[in-house]
Amino acid sequence: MSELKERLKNLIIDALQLEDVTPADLDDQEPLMDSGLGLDSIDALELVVRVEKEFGIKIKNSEEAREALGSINTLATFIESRQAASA
Amino acid sequence: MAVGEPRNPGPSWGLRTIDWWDAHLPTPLRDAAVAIGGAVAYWIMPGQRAASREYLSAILGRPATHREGIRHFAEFTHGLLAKLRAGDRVNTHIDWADQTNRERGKILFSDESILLGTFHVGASDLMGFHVSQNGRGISMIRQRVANSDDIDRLLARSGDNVEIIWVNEASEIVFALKESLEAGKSIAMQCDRVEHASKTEGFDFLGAQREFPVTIYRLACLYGRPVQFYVALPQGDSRDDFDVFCSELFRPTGQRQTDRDAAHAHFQGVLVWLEGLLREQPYQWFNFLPLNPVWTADTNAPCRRSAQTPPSDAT
Repeated sequence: MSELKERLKNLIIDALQLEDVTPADLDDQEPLMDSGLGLDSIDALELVVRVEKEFGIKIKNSEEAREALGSINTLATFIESRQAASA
Repeated sequence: MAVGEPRNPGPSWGLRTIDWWDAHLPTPLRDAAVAIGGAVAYWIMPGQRAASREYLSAILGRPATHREGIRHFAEFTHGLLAKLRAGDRVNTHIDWADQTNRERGKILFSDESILLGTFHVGASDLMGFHVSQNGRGISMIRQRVANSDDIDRLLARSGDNVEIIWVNEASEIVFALKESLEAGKSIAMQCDRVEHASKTEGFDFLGAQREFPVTIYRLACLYGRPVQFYVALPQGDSRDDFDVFCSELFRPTGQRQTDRDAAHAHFQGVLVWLEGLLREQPYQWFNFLPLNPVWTADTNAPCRRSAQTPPSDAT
């Protein structure tokens, strides 16, 4: 799980071109949207597209996205559950 | 879905009234009624009047007169009427302005999925529906407001080729856009208002560096789709014949930073092109909101994220 979270942090930094941010700066529990990292709707779309491509999963609608993009923790859990379901 | 207040709130019976005038009055009488209605609206809608005068003064390069403001309101009403009667009481004619624009816009009639940009200028809604009549599936991004009857009427006449993505809920729009893009549909967006835009940059327009949304380019880069801007303006004095103008095409290369810089330069070119068209037909800018805010260094610096610095060669 920690390896997955590290991978996710690097993906977020790269996908969203977060300048001067390192994986260590991203807290596992910090909200990704709004008050936390401050991702907006287009950031969320960019992240969803990258996550789908990178992990071979599908995020079907905005409810799933909201749940998945809650934090690094929730995103990692979501990816693991999806991968387990399709294994 | 919650329905917002009308953008430019006139009386609730306004659309029905001008539609009745158009359907029942002889043309000279209808035009007189529109002129009087425009004058009344001009005086009872102070916010829209101020926005109109701000824009007209900027485009004309001198303080706008009340007469010019009233004409601006009347032209807007004629634009609404053109939408209300299109494909119903008249055979609306929309065609390329000339061979150069026809050649430049040929991608529109190919099978390639594209992102179509436009502005609150001329007959932009009619342009979208015109494109769909050529068999191209198109999703139009619009704000759902209480007076969207004109769009609903066009939608009812356009069959399955057109869908509207209402932007009132940001979280919903993301997946509606994703679905449309992944289904290979073309998307039409008006790219002048910043109220629902999360991604904006500064561009020279009407004498200042102003904030404009760049969402269309972010989507283009994300999905590898080309972007082209279209504007349909009245042909001469005609109310139902429109000339279509289109910008140069922007095609992302897949190199992220290169594409971001190229997109910024492209949109600056588009705004220069738009400003030129508006100088020819200054009463066709139908925004009626304050001009786009002047861009400052921290306009688009959200929370912990670093603001994108516009490339130095394009500002």
